[in-house]
Amino acid sequence: MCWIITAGYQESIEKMTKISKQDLRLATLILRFTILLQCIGVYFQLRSGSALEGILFMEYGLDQAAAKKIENAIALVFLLIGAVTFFRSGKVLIMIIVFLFLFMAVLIQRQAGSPFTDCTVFAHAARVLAPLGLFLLVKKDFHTRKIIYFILVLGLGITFITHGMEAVSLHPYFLDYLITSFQNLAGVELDQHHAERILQIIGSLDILLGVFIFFVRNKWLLLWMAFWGLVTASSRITELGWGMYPEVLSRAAHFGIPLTLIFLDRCIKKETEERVR
Amino acid sequence: MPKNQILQSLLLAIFAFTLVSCKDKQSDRNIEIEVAETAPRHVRVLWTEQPSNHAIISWTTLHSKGEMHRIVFDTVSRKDDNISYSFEVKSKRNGEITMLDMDYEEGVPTGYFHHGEIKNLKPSMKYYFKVESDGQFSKEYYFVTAPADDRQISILWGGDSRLGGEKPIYAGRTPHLGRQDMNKRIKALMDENEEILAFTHGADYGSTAEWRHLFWWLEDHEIVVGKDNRLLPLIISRGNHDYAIGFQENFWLSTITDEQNFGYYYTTQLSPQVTLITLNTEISVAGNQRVWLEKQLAENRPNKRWLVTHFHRPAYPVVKDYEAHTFKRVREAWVPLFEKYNIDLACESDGHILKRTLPIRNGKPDETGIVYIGEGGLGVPQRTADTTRWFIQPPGFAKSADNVHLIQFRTDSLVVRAIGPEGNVLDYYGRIPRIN
Repeated sequence: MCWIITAGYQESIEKMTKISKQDLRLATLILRFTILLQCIGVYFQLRSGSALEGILFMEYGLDQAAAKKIENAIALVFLLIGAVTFFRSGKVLIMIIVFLFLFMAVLIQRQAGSPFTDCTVFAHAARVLAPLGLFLLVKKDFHTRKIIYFILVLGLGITFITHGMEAVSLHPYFLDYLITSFQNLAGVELDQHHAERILQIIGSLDILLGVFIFFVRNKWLLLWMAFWGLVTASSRITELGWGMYPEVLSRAAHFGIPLTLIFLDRCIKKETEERVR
Repeated sequence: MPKNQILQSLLLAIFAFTLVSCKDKQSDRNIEIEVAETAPRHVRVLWTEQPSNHAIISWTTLHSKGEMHRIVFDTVSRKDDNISYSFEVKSKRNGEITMLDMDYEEGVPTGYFHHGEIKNLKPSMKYYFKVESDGQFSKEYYFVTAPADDRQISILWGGDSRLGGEKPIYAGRTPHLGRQDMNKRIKALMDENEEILAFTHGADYGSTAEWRHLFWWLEDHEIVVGKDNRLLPLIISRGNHDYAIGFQENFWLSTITDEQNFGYYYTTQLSPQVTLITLNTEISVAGNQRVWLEKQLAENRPNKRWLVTHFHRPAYPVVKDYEAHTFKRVREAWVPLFEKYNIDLACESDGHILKRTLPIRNGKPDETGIVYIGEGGLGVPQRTADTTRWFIQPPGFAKSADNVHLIQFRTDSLVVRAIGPEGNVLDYYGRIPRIN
């Protein structure tokens, strides 16, 4: 009898370990895919001109062609590292990509010249911290996974709160996403007054979600954030057409991180249960 | 030390360096400014909607806000006689110009803005004025109001006067040689041609609208004082480097600033037959501004010979990515209206180049279409155009050259000349009126 109970227990442990490993694999895969999409998005953004070329040419007096070459070279680095990282877990490469994402955010913030650029580093928190999560995910131990969860939540939360504050402050681009997308998708003429009210509600919700995520571990909350992250990233396309796809790809972390967190959370919970047993 | 730890420490150091480098690199460059006096400076005239009878006069005092600020003015020159002016108005807005740490570190002095409005002016009249702050008077300046009759008039138009000093350029907010050269050219043009009524700026005055940038823009703008202290009224627009609060502080446009939520979009009636519409690409382009634009175009087109718009971000960029969000949103929101109401000319900035497009309608060349000029060259470093773009193929063109445009509104034609810092004509374009 005792032997039967022990065998059943062993079987259930093995089953749980298998499921938690599957969740971990899925979380890793989603995160890798997210980073790949981000890198492709940034590649196209850099190819079409970015803050980097502007600063090198305008402020450091570099020849425009040389500045463009440097920009193209960095674009290629993004693309290559994104592709390699998708298949392999090279810690150095991942850390380079973390640094590059942070570097780009700092550059945009420094160059200014767009609404709310003062907040760029915070607004880019998700895309900067996504590869950092992957960097740590390479480590297999339980405690590191808890740290990764916190890092990804931190990135997601800061990004949602920052975008929420921008929306509450009536970011002009966000207003136009709403007004033109309503027109394009539903044929509805949304006037600016109503767009502003809707935007303030959306912004307030984003701030609330961004705060909740630090305290609440809920699958449905994360699913909503993934959905909303995808919708808001795609608003560039609904406003101005499919040509805006790099803008969506570069924001892949906004929907990729919540999905990663769902599986990572499941994995951590199961591992915790295993440890208790 | 294990390899991993060394790597992590190295990366941490890079992170720390990156974060620290967020701080502007100007802090080690203190500029000595020999400005001790508190007398009014940066005296300027701004035009908004009805320049035939209204103007805003603004100035700066340094070091002290003062208590009593006023404008005295008359239709005859009073020279040194400060008490004989027939009219006076008190300033409406006074306040301290916002200073950041970087402004202090660069050594620009504390500044205070003062703005006053003069109303009920007579058209085509010289108005002589002085500004006074706590008993200290400025020199006597004059400007000419816009006409109420259908005479030939001209304006100067240009954009982008940020950066352009010694290398590294960012450090060289002064001397901004390129900007100063262009200001000298603007002064020469206004002295040569009295029919030039105003100087319209296509925005991006400095890298930001913070005081260390705007202070030097205003200092350089003092070059643009013509013969007998004539001032060329400014028609202001707002660009993507003009977000900071300093813009509102230094370029106050009365009700336009107050009621349109810092919108900076408005229609200037330069003469009974010439309408200039200033748009703002840095706020919502698809919301209230678009509704307002359509109303302005519908009201003005049927009975105005010349209808011109100007705005900062180009609909048809010749340097930056044509498909970029910042340009496409302008193209999608406004260009259909420009084409529907057949405006005569669109003036754009931002790219740091000189261009003139083919006439464009429905996204292709069309003789009946709209011509887009500009992209900004008031001293800013010039970029190289992508010459493969269809809309600058001959007779369109693009060229890297500092420039300001002289736009003449004649009864039988609209003539546009792009003029370089040496006075050389870089481009010429003319068209006949669309309506009789």
